[in-house]
Amino acid sequence: MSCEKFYNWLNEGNSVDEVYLPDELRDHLHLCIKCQQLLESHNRLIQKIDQRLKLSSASRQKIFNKLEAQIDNNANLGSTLPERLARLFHLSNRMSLLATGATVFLLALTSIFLIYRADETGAKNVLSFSGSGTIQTEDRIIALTDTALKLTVSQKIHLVSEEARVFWNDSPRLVISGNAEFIIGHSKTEMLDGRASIHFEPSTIGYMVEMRQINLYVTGTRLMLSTCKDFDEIIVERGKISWQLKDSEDSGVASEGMRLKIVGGRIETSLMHEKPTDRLPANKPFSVPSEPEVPPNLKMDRSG
Amino acid sequence: MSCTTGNHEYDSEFVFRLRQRETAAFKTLFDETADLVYRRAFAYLGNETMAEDATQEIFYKVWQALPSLESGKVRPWLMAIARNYCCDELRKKKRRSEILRDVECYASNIQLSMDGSEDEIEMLCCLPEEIRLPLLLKVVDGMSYKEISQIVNKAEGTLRNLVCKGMKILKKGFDENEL
Repeated sequence: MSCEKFYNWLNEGNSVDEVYLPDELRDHLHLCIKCQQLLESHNRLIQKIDQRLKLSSASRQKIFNKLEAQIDNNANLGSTLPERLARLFHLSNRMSLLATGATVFLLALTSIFLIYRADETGAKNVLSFSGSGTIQTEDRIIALTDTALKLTVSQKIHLVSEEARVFWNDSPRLVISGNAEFIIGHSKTEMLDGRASIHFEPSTIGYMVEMRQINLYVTGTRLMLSTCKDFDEIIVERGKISWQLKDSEDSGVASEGMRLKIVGGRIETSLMHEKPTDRLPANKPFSVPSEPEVPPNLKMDRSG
Repeated sequence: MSCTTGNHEYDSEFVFRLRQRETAAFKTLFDETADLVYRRAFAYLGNETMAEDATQEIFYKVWQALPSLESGKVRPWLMAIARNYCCDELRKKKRRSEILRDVECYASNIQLSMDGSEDEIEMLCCLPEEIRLPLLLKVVDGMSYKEISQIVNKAEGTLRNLVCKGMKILKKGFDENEL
């Protein structure tokens, strides 16, 4: 190894720790005084730089004092944007929780109030009728007028009517014309016997009509329904219905103008304008009698 | 507490205290690593005042990031924060001043301008960052060229040349001072 090589080796910043010295270099160093002096000068330079690049005690303390002040100052302000956002998020969280709690409390109060009011006025689940014709319940016959007549929910009603408007809690639900027996409820009417045309108000979304063999799901529809022990018949005069047979998983949709007839658990579909089938029960005439047949033990109630 | 200095990592208990932003633990970290951070900042920025300011800002960023500290990786984490800050500052600094890309020309200008009165730090300040940074990392911090290459994104051969040039400049001034 020559002095020039040693000089270049030093200038590359290689370690001069004897442990790491290559053998060739160590041997040259032992013999060359110039390179020994060069090495000493090199080491002094590095040491001076190393000492100068250390913080003095005063500088170190000054930096730390300024750092402490910066931390304290920003802790009071919540300085960094992420910290502010986090604080705002936590604050929003708390406020959201409070708002949710307050809302739930108010809703609970309102519900209690409404239920109380409903109980007080007896307005809960009120079925009422108005129109023309008569309805027959288990204990009386009622002539319908334009004044709404309140009836008990879920009682059987024999409707003999030109037109009966059915209300649920003062909200119009159905308009029925025909001669049939029903049990009318809030979301369902069970048609027991007879034939009637029913117009379902738009508010009856999801309303169900249960017949002997089929369930219908109606929305703002007008239907002609006939039911007896032998069959159910549905004519969709307006709108669309969904249906499902009671004793099977058969289901479908019937649109305006379609006729469905269910006999013995099987469904037949046809169009309304096709030749009507003569299948009405003989003992249930379609025409509305002018005077109802009044059993002798029942009292005629015309008061509404 | 059994934390150590030098190249040893800190134990998990100390790291836990740091994550909790315990003042005493943070002060210990500062005392043990402030010189290292200052030296690194000077290597990048080439100015003692800027390096002191950078040291303060770097440790402030360390304070803010303490909750995310992982065990056993304190020094690399700390130096990564320092490097990122210094690189950002360097970019700002370079936008404000003309960059001398020809290292040979710059080195010769330094030799002509030196009248023998500059000390070693002043000479280092005169060096461009491309030379000063790898030189200090290699000579003072004792890093390998491979490690330096990962920091400054330059080939090892290029780094050797730059360090060599820087050392020659410093030694010329140093020798003249000693004489």
